[in-house]
Amino acid sequence: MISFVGRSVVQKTITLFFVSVVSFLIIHLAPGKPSQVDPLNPKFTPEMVERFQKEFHLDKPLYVQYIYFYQDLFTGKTVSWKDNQSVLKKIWERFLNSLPLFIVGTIFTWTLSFPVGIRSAIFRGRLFDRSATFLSYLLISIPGFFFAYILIIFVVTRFHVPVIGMETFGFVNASLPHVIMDRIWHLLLPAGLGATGGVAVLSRYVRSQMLEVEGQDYIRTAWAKGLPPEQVHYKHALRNALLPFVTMFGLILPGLIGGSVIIESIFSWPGMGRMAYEAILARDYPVILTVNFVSAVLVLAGTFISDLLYIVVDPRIRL
Amino acid sequence: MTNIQAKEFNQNFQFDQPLAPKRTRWEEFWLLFRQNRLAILGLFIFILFFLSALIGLFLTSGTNPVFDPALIRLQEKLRPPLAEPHLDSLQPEEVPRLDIYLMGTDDLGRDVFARMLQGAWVSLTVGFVAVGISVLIGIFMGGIAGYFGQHMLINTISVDTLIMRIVDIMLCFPSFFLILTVVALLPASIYNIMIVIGLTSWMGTTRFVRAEFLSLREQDFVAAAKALGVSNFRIIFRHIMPNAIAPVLVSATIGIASAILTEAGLSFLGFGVPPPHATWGNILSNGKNFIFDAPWLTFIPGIAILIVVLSFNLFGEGLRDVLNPKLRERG
Amino acid sequence: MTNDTLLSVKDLKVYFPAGDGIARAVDGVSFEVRRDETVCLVGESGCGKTVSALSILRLNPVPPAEIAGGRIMFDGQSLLKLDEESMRRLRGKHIAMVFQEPLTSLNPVFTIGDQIGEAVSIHENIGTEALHRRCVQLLKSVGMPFPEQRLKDYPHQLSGGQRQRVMIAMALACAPRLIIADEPTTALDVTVQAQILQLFKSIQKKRSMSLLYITHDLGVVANIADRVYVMYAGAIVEQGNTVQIFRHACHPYTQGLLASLPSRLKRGKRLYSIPGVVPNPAFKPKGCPFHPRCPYAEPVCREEFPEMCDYGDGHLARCPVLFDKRDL
Repeated sequence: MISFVGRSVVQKTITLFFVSVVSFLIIHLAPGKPSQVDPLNPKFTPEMVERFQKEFHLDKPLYVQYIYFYQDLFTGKTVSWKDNQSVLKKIWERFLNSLPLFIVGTIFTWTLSFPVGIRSAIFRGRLFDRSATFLSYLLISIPGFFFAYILIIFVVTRFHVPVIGMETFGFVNASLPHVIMDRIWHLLLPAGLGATGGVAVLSRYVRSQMLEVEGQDYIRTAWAKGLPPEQVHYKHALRNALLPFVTMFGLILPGLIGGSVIIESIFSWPGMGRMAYEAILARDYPVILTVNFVSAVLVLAGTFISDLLYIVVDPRIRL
Repeated sequence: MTNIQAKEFNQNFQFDQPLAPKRTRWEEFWLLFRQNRLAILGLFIFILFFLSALIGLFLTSGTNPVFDPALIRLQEKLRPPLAEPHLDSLQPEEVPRLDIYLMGTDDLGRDVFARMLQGAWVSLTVGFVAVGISVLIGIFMGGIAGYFGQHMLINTISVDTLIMRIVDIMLCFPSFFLILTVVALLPASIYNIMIVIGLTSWMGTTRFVRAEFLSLREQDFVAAAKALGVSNFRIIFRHIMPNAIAPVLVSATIGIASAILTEAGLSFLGFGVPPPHATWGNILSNGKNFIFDAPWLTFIPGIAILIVVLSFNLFGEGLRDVLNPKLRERG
Repeated sequence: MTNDTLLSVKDLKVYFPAGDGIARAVDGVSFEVRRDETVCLVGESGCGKTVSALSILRLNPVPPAEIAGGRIMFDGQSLLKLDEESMRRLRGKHIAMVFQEPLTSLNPVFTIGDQIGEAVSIHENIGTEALHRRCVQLLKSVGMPFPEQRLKDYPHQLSGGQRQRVMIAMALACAPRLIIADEPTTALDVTVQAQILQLFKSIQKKRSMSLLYITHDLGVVANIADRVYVMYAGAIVEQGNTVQIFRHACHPYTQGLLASLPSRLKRGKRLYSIPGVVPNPAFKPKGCPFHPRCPYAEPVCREEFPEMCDYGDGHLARCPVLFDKRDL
């Protein structure tokens, strides 16, 4: 067990190192310069450009720049080129904004997918299964922002509820319950939208996993014992079908950054995804690189957690 | 009469009745596939889409196209679908071909129908080229990892380890964010988008091609081919590849769907295919500014994308069901 | 059907959809199991014996399987007419089943104790303490060493033979009146096969219950059976007691099966094999399904599905051609 953890950590650290190199290369080999250092930027005099280049070691060879950059990152000194704020602090703030969106979305996804997927598998080929199947294909296929606009129009015209941003502007002096309700209203739509794709994919996966297990010999054994259907489905089948999802639980971590760019832009939600998007627009390299690095860490941490969870739940794996 | 000698049994027998009608692989495939009505629908829409994209390419390109997607008529902007043009305010060459704006006009008075026709071809190429790139890389990397995997490069690192670590590294990047970054840094062009989508989505193909190769490599027919002195190249492409191609096809079909969606998402964020090319993605993202005044600018491309992506997904899943022998046995 | 009969299957038909046609996997099968006897159902793989057995407990997945006709009587009840709940109460309690694949027939995520205990507690009201004792005793009765410790093990920690013993213990849990064993030794090593077969024999004697044993192995049949049914292409072709079948086989298929057994008398000679293959259940030949492979086939065999011919004393065979020649 300990050797597994050790090996895994070493391997993931090596991967992380290469990720950092690759992302650094992608950014620096691409044509174009960061906007603030661009000599053509009229706001800057040549002296300022020179000072900038010195400050950020842009005059040094690439590998030196690389070392400087990650040295700064690990000591927390990296600053954004756009506003000179500490990158880590910025990311932390935005992370806190994204977190409720992520949590509510994940809860939606997981609480909806399982009942739908399991029911679909048990009633395979019936009306429920077929409509769930078609609906999930529909949700997978709809462009996210198109769907978002349809929903926004619907909600705004129907319920007259403001949904853009994290809270209604100028709502600071309202009473606490009002503020909370306002927050929840603003949260529900983007979180729900973020979850639709997840529900569609995950419920299909739950369904196929359940079907796979329901076809196994030990399920036939369970029926032959005379177990009632609920026990066959929810004890014998589900317990086995759940195994792969335990591993998926680790893999949702990277979702904190990944899929939220479009949703956060539409709803003007000041989260991580939008910050990353703005950083790309402004060619704010330290922010882009740091977001990339953080998300790589999340991916690797996620796979690590899922490996550990698998060992815990599957009696066949003993290290 | 009870003890029959074995000799008596071994006479000549004629098998006058065939055991089962012979079917080719294609007939069998079609027999199974046709039972999946959704997949048939998907295939039908896919063919329809393909044809209209092809026709659209001919009708909208050239110096004097039948439908001109770039013709600006400012006096006719934001006309709703099926509106009759105001003939008195238009030059003769500006009159729409069918004497009607089938799908309305946009904020510059351009014919949305013509733009959709042009966009169909662009969306189709983006999907196919991007997936083509990713499938080629995937098959190449996966094939090498699976077939030559055990070859050692530097003492402890084998070819397989190296390739799979590269896959791990690539999987660490949040894919949409990575695509966005690269597309934003590179000069805007339709080719860059195809290439970047292709270069960032080959990992899945690599993984299962490798898995297929690993198991197929150990099969007897490969050993037999080797014993006959067949070259590695021929074994890979003539003997193993046909057996590994089914899952690649399935994931390619679904990959095209997601590439079209990715292109639309990029267009929405302002990094899509640059003008003058019309794509469904940029018609849609342009239309969002007029969503209350001219909802057709959002709904026509939105629903078109939805239907096409849906048809690819349905078709791909249908393929998966038919090609997956495990599911097939269970019926 | 005498008073002695525990299970009688009459004219059972089970069909599956197959591509554009129908596979008649079981096509008019009739057999009986009496109290306290061991009946063997013999046939090549694909002849429909497993489907018949699963139909008794109604364990064939419906759809795709469809019971197209017939009657199954168990102890005076018509099983095909029972509602699902009553059927469920019957499974495991009165009729238990042992499957072919001990490796995959046990749930990998539950312990042996859980799985055996479940079989008991689902049909009986029993306290934890008593349940534990019952499980230990069940494992002991199937010859499992260290039953106490084994209860906490997971299936993957046991060998194939041990797992089959667990399956048998599970089947015995509620002292059923009939055990259906579907090729329980096929997946096991030869030495373990002999042990498990011995176990079945002794259990059947000790507990005075009936055993329906399904196999393709004539050696097993000779060892264990009181009466035998030989099945071919979804129908019974010959039935009788063990001596009748092995000494006086009256159907060309049974004769072919016996001729293909190795024996001392045939040393040095080429072993016989029945030419051709089992027909695809979706494309059975017209007439007698065996006629394309039959050395005695006559024109009538291609036209008419043969009737059972009575040789007396419970010995029947579905071959009028040989029946007419019997005294020659």
